[in-house]
Amino acid sequence: MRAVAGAVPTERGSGNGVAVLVAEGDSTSRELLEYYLGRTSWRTVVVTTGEEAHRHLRSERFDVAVLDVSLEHRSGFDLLREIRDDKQLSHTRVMLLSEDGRDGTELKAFELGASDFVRRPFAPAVVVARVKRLLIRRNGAMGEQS
Amino acid sequence: MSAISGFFGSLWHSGGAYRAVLVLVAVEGVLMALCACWLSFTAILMRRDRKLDAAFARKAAPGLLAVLADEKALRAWQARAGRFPKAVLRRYLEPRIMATTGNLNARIVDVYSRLGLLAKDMQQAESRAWRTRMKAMRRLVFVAGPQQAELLVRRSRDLHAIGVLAAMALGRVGTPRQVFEVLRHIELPRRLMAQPVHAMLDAMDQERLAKLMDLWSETPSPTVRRVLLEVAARRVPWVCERYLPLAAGNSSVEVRIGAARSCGMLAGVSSMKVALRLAIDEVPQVRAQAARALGRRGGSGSVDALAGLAEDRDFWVRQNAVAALREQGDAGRRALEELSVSSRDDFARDAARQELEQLLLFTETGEAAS
Repeated sequence: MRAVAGAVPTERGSGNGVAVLVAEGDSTSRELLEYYLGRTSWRTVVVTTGEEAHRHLRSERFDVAVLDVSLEHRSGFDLLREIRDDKQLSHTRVMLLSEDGRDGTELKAFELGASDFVRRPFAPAVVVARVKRLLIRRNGAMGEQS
Repeated sequence: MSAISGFFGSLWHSGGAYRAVLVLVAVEGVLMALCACWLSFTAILMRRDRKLDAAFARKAAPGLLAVLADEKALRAWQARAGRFPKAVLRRYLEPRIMATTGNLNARIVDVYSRLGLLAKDMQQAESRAWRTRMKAMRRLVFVAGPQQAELLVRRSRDLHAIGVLAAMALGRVGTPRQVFEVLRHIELPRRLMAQPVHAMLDAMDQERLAKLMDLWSETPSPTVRRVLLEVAARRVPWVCERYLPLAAGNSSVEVRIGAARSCGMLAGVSSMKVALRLAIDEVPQVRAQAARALGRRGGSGSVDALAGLAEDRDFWVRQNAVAALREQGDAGRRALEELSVSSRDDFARDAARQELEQLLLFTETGEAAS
């Protein structure tokens, strides 16, 4: 599916089994993340609100969810709680993006079960590299379990 | 209404103090009205900007990044974007330029240039109004290319803040000779002012920095030469090693201090020889920095030299030497024990004892913690 910027959820990548959900409220960051993720072979879904992210999380399987903390309707923290409370979503690694650079916010993210936390302003290429690292760690953990 | 005017009228005629209060109230009223007008005006402008940004987002969809790879689509995008005011285009492009690197960044900067924004920035950078020049220079730090280097050299002699921005941009895009032209005119009367020079040199790639070092001895300011040496020690250590003997024999104390500090960042044999030479320099500040450098390098040669420096006549040299010995493991500890017992110098004995006490305290605390 071709990527379309704006409020419409976009999806790209034929996928190699890896799926990444990006829920980002800021249009600039969304466009940049979409561009950099589009260069990987992962299936990427980009949405703009917490509600849309929630819908996608319920209907599809994602390996990593990159969530903006200050999303409309449902915050990144709300989504993180839902993901951690739902056993079916326990495999999804969550990375939170936040404007709030205070240590308390980061601490809260990790206490709620986030796998990574990135403060704004961020370099989108670095976010993608960190998603890659989360996937490697996840694959390593799954290998150990099996 | 007549009651109010009657009230103010009677106050006005009641005496000088009342009259003064009334004048103050009137002035305050006028100021508040002006503030309200200004706030309303800026609110209108902000609302207009938001509307324009939203219109741009609609017209320019899909975003620039989605069309970058397709030249035809990019031209169509540029044609659509070109109808909007330059301020709107800047608000759209600037965060994308700042958040990207490498090839993607170069392509967005190219679009920035094609839309005429870079030419406008260059024009504004020569403006007579310093605020306009400053704003333009803030943008040029990110978008200037080698073609703008001459302009940046000129602007580096502007007001301090503008000069710093120009120098930072020049570090990224200027030739070694152009960077040297800026360094040639820089004076650093205070240490804190060296930060922009560090930023400019850090923006240079290794190749250009190595070529700039060829002009090191021609740099007039000794403080700038010191900074150059220190940055080279960190970034191009093999080049720095070549200049150290020259720097160590320089008549300027600043340059010799730079040489001593650089020795601490290097690992070669020649830099060790320079460090040992500077450890017997006639100026205490140089010896103190040499002691630090020897501490950072470590090794048996360093420990012997540091034991000697611990008996120096200058307080800071002794202090740096014993602090460095504390970091040298068993060899340093043995040297401190020997100094604390057999040194003929009372100050050296005291300093060594203090360091040993701290070392003991640290060891005990560490053991208790583990």
